[in-house]
Amino acid sequence: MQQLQQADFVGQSEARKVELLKQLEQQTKQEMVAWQIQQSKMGDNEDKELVKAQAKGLPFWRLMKELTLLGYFTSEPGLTASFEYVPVPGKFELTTLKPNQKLYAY
Amino acid sequence: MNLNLTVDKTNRYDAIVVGSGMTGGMAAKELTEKGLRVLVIERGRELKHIEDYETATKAPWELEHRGKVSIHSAEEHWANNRFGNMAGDETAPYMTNDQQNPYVEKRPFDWIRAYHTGGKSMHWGRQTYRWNEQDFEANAREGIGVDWPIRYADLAPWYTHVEKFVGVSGQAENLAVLPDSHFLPAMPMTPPERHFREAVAKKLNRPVTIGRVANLTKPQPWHTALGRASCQYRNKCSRGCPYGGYYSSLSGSLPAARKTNKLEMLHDSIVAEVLYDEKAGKATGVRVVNQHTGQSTEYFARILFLNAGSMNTAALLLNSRSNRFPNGLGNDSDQVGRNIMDHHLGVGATATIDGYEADYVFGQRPNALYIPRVRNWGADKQTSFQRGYGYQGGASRADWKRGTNLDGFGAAFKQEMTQAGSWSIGFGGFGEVLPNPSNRMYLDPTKTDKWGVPLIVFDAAFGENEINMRKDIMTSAAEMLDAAGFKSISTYNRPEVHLGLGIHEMGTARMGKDPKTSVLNKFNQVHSCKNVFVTDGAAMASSSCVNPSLTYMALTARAANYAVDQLTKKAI
Repeated sequence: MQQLQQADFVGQSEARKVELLKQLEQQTKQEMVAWQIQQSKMGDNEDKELVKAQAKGLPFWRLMKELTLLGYFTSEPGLTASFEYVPVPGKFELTTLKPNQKLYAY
Repeated sequence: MNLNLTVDKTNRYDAIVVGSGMTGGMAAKELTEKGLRVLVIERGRELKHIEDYETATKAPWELEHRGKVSIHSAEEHWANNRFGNMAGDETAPYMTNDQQNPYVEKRPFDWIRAYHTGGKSMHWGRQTYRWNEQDFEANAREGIGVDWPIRYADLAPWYTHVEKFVGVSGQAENLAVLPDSHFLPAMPMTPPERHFREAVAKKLNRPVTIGRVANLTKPQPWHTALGRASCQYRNKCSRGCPYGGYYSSLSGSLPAARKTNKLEMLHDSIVAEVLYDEKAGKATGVRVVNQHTGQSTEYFARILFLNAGSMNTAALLLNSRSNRFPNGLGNDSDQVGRNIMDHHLGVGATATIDGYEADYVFGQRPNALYIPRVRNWGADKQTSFQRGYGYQGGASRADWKRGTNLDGFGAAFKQEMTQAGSWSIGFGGFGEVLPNPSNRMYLDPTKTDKWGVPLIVFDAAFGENEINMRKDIMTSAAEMLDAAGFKSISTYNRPEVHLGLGIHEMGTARMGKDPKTSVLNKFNQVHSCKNVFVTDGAAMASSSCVNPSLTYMALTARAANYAVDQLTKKAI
């Protein structure tokens, strides 16, 4: 966040904004590698710490991306605009995808 | 005198069953159907089938955290939260509040609990497998633990009895390692899974079958008579099924027991100890503490079935001290609380699958594939570990959740996430754990919970056999995925897995031939107190590698029928 502020993100052209976000995404991937190593080092019986670390240790971009995807695709407007909502399928069937067919969401 | 007489009349039953979960429910069904008046005592709250499944029909947007685990819930369910999403919106209302029901970890133990009517039978994975003949013989042949006092043939008719009642979907394969059950129609495999099955059979000579699962693919008249309907393929089983599509105590055994009009149930009631009559040499009943009032009440019966869940059943025995049993009821052998077993998991391999772009499915299959044990079976001999493991897993197409780890954002990215991703496949092992007397739980000498019941202390860990087996589970899974031509194979072996996480905890009051080295006889009777039966996972003398609920239920039905027979003959 701080980084984007310093780069005057809001004041940039659209192309520059996209460029800045792409940079942030690549940087986040590096941070995630370090974060995952740290997570797997936490061993026996420190799971409470793990939970707290998961909540606050994730890089900003990664957390926002996950929550944006979750928030949108599980919201009523987002889910029903993107997918065919099937709360009670009633059967399990092997099918093939037709052109432009919406995916099912349950 | 008058007071005692009143107590006698109101609190006296033919049988008391402690616990209403997978085996308590089955004990209640069998005993009531044989004509006994039964009191089932459940420590948790009352949960009514269908009407109390409050999250079952909620849409994704109706879940407060969209199914995720909130920080508050993670703290409240500090133990449950070690297993996947248990503390998430879908199931958190049913999982035990670990802060209010603490336990002590001398060594880490992942204790997953659900204190309410039906217990963990509401949340189980529903995978349903018979043990094989060698599972019952291995201890004796290898000199591990104690020999089982029964063999496969003793349990086979009870497997059939339970399978028919429960309803098990699966494919008959005629394999000695994985005996067939009485099956309802099998669920289909997806095209990449069929390819995997064929490739692994051809190149590695290993069988792959569709999971055997306690979901009704074709309900039988005795299922519909209990109000159970066909599986609706929502795959939201762990929330409780409003259709009774999968088996639980709530959908199956307790309704069956209720039909007899011989069942009474008590909720919010912790059984603190078994009452023992020194003169008669029998158990007479139980002392129960009310969760809300803290008040103690005694209930009496001719026979007791202890089905509180392996760890709580052992704790109950240990807490039932008398002159005859200073170390806990039936604990002459000092084996109560020892030999904790489970299945170790969180180890396997994943891969991506090219192709099959047009293949898709309608509905959500609440099931996966099963790969039976091949290690130390037949001609296979391993040098680094004994016994074996099975795999569970399958193939699926990625959905929008893949986006978290992909590059991109904006409108094009959003559009891309509405399209089907590629197929991927993964298998995780379920490994047999050997009995080891130093893997144990016991009662804390000073600490109690808020109802005055001693806390359980866990002091157990995986041994060398399990650790070595896990390496083979990884490499062998990768080998199978490679044989099928799948790409980007990656193995995993989660370091934070402890005993308990398989939620198949068992072994703390084992069956055996010799009262000096075991707690229960071949009919699950406490050797030294014949009117007490233990038929939950505590009874297990070894763990096999297949999911245990079917075996627990078969042991329960067998013991219950024996108990009624013995009562009729006035032998107990």
